[in-house]
Amino acid sequence: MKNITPSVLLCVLGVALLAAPWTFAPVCEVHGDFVQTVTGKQLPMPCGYTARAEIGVGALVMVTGVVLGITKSSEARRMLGFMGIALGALAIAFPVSIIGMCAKADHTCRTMTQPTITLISLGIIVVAGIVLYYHRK
Amino acid sequence: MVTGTLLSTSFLVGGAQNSVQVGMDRLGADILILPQDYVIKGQSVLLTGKPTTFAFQDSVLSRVKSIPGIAVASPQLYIGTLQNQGCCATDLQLIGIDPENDFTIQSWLESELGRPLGKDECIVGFGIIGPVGTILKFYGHEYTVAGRLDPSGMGMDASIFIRMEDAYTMSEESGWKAVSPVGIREGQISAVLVRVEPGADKEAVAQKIRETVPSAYPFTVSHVATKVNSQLSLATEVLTAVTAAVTLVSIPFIALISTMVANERRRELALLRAMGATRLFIFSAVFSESLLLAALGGLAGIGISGLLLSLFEPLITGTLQVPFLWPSLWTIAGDAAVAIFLAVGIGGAASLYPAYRSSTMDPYEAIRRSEL
Repeated sequence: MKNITPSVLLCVLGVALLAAPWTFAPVCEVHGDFVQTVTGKQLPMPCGYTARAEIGVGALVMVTGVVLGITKSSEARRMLGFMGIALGALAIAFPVSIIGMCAKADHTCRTMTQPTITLISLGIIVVAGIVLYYHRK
Repeated sequence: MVTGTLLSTSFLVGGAQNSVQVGMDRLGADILILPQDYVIKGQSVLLTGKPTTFAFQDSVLSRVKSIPGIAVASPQLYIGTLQNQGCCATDLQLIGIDPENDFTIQSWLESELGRPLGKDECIVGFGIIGPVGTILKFYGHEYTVAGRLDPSGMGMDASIFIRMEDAYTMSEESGWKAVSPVGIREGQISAVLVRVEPGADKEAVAQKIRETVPSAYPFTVSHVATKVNSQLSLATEVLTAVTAAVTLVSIPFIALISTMVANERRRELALLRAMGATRLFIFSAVFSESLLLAALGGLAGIGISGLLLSLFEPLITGTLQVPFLWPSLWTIAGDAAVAIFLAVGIGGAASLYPAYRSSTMDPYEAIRRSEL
């Protein structure tokens, strides 16, 4: 019987990645903090845009997990392992360099959201790495 | 678990003590003088950079300077910014300094910037993101980032240093440029940092300041270190209790696992005995396996706790409200070595009895019972 543990783990980690910035590791706007323009319009902080990007990455990780669960080809599973690692690295890169977080070190987006995203992403990279290892040539 | 909790305890305590040491050295002052009504808020600015605005209602600097035993007195102005600035969701702490008398960042300015702080320039603390040249706007006044300080683990990491002149201009303009005015008049200051003359008694000078300026609350920097230690004591006690409890629980647990492993291998060990292996060989085989497993478990515990501590260190120290600066690599390595040594010691002690039992069993009886 095929081992579906990595598939389930990737799905769970994908859900955690897309949900974390809006629930258990919230970004600033969840607390009601926005950038206010001179016209009074409220815009999301940089961390808000990072949280939106992580929804996309988390969804892709979930898709990777689902496809990993239904595919039979060893080569396809190897490719999915590569994709998982790339998505994990991308998930870390969004808050660190691509979009960034708020400027102040004690904001919740930097004390809670960023480390949580990093931890979940490392989990994705480890699981995808194991998939890659078991389906190496 | 044992190595993880032990490493966490020593990491947090060591980090806080290191931070206070580095932060106080960087501050360079022997005595800090705050308004009587704002002592708690002033200490928060110093320790954690929690933004606040306050000032003395009367002129204290000239009176402080006239007190014998004081070598240098440098004023500072604390202004908390408004919320929802372009860079950040919450407010920040602006610290106005007098470039002529300041000794907090002056040495840094001389060595790193090579010139005095210019008009509408600012120096940001280590915790504020943004490269040199970034424009930051506070109360409608624009400042250019001229440099970033090294980490101190204290409030200055979350603060922005500006010239006092620019702070007064910003305060004056805030009436029509900002949503709400700063409310600070020219000449007002929030704190005075004092360096006493060599050989002078700091406590005696502080007492003299208290008598001369009744509206001021002077305290020595050692007072701040004591305050941090008292804040840490509860957390340290809890973590020490958790470490002790985990250690106590783990000894019988590891002993049970070692016994189960030895029982699982009873047949193999008995065959080894029947083929001529000595009791010492059987004892050392079981004992060494436990030591190896304990060392690997210890390493795993250190790896996991190290990862979690490095990721969530700002959250932990922010919740405990203590300053924090990473201890040196040698300190961390020393703490990790002690934790692994403890784990190996516990693993070894717990496996002594199973190893002894395995080495003293009768080979024929053990093989026969394994086949039942």
